[in-house]
Amino acid sequence: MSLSIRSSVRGCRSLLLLIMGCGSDLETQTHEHQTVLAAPAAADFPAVSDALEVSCGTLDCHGQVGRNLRVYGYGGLRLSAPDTPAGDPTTDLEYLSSYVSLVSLEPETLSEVAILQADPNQLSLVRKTRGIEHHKGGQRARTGDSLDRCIVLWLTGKFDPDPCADVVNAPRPNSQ
Amino acid sequence: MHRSGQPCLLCHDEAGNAPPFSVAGTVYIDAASLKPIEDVTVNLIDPLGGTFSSVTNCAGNFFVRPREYSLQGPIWVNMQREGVFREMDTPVYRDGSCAGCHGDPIGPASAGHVFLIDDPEVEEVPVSRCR
Repeated sequence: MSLSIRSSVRGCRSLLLLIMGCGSDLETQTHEHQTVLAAPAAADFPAVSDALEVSCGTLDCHGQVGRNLRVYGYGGLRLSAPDTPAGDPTTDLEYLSSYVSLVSLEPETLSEVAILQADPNQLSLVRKTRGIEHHKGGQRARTGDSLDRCIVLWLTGKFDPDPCADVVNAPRPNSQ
Repeated sequence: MHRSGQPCLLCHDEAGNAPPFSVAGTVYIDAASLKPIEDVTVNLIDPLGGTFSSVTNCAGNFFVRPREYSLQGPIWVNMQREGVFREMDTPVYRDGSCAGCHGDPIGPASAGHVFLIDDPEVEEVPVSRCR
């Protein structure tokens, strides 16, 4: 998976840079007429995406094409037919599409968080997830819990797969 | 039959013109048919394990009123009848209408209608009491 994701992501980075009319340096720099953007590592994103899928990506939330943040994957929105919800596992292209959706939300701020270690709370993704900013889906994580660490560590270049796996493997509640 | 398979809360919402529901939907016999099935117990389970149950009528419909149960996602859903048990792969977070996500036809953005029997050759189709 990683090879195809990485090669696709290289193209993605190029696309972002191209859109912004940027140079080749992946650091956040504001020049006279251009801004250079960067994004967290795409190679690590599938584990983050898996956690987002179960926490945010159901069909009644971010598993919808009308959302700015679209999360594609197994349990929710599929990128293309014949894939259906709860059908085949999440595809590489779906991981990439979710990645592009996420890093395109606030690219300048994301660059500052990813490269300059700016406060992750500057990102609406983090504020909404933590319930700091109004979120129709409510507070989905508390600072320091598994979902929060999964997202924030990845955003800040300190990716740790364990909290992401904890989110994915959390047991279903048992009926009382 | 009262609008089986349609998103119930479009009308049955606090802002709608029909008695409000918090969760409602239609259960069909299997994935291939649009024949509704009655007497299916639908269980809504919150993160702490608290459970509320509702049973489908002869239209295959079940509904839960806000005064009985308020949808505070994530809610895990399963259903059962006569030894057949089926559960959703993912929880419900926001939409109390089953058909909001389970509309027909099944496709990349829809899980297809809700059904009880996954494999008619393995699971016995219950005899209907409804005519």
